[in-house]
Amino acid sequence: MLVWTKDLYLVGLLMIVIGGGMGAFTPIAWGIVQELTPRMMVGRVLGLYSTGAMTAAISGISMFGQVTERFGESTGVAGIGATFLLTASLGGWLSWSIRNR
Amino acid sequence: MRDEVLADADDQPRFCVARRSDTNRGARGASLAPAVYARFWIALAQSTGVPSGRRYLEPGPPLVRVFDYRLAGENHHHRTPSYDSPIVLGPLIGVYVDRLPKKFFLIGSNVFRAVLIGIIPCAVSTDTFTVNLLYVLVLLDAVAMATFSPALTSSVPLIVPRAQFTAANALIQSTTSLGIIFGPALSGIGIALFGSQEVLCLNAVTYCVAALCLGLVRLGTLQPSAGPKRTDGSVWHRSHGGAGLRRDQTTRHPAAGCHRGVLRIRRQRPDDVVSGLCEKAVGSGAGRGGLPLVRPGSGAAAHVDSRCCGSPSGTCRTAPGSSRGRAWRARWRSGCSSGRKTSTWSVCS
Repeated sequence: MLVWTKDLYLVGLLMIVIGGGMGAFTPIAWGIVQELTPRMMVGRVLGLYSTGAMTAAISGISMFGQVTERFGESTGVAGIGATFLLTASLGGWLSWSIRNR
Repeated sequence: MRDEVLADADDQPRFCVARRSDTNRGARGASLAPAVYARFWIALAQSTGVPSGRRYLEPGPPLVRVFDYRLAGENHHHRTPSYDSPIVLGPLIGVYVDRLPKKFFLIGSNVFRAVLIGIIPCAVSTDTFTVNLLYVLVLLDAVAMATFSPALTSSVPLIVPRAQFTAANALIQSTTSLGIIFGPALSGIGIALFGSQEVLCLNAVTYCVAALCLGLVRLGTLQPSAGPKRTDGSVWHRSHGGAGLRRDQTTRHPAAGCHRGVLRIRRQRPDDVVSGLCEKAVGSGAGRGGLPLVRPGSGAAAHVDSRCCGSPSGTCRTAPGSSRGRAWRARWRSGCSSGRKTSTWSVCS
């Protein structure tokens, strides 16, 4: 929707929704890690989590910056949306696997 | 750029929780409220260091650029040490966070950052402040941050019950965000009134206050996770912290009625083992089985609960250890004194 819309109010609303989703992700992910990981290994898992998150952040900044510069903003936003969709799919699969464990 | 600077998640404020001493696990949901307020103000005060640090570096535009990019994590010319440190050191730090007391890391990283961010900028004049020095400072600060973050997050299960993990994490994130939002405003006021160096020194004070508050936090005991339950001898136990346990041998002494077992530790190191003896003083006095146990306080395996003696007169002895060692020694003794004839070893996560 961000790719297609030109309405600033709608863009603002969508940004709020996106921000809410991003803000909810980290506490839930931390909670799952804390709940499922054996207690004496939580630090290690969270250390790896931080490593993965930082690596992904740097990779995402670099990759989508180049994508935006080369192919335009719409393509970059669409790529970000696809990444969010992939994240949501993985989250849904993880939730399903936990429920059916 | 300004928004990105202020929205950086690296500058995670310190976690300040002053818990009541009488709170128990699973029954302290309401007691988090003062902790949230305390942490909010700590986060608020600590965020004042962001623009003050930027202002402090203004005489040299490249320094401002580096400092901004350190906060935004987008420095293409100078790879940001604030991002490199967690990436490189994250797994290593996680191991030590598990093995050593978490409060050591929580308090130590705050004190270290107080010294780093506060005293050094206050002691170094703007004329002698260089990019290289700033780079080293940011690198060390990032190391401290990389230490603090997993220690803080892994401390949550020791403070709140399992049902409130997500809520506690959300509070951490929320107070961080509130500090990021309101901190710079207070910092601007402080810079206008007192100056940037004074605000940086105030920032160092807030780190010290955070360390003090963390010293008041009483972390709970380890509780089993909700993860898959495995039995002894499984792959999980063998790979458990590099010191897996398995029930290697169990015999029943015919005369004393005492179960003897040997818990072997894979990849043993000399300091990983504390010898434990289960002695049964009945009949012939035989029935003495060696129980090599996990080093107390190693964090690799928390408790070994062994009920090994067949009569109330049986006694168990272990070598001196840490407080955790004393804890499982107490459990061991209680198991022996109860006169149970079963021999049960379990690793409690």
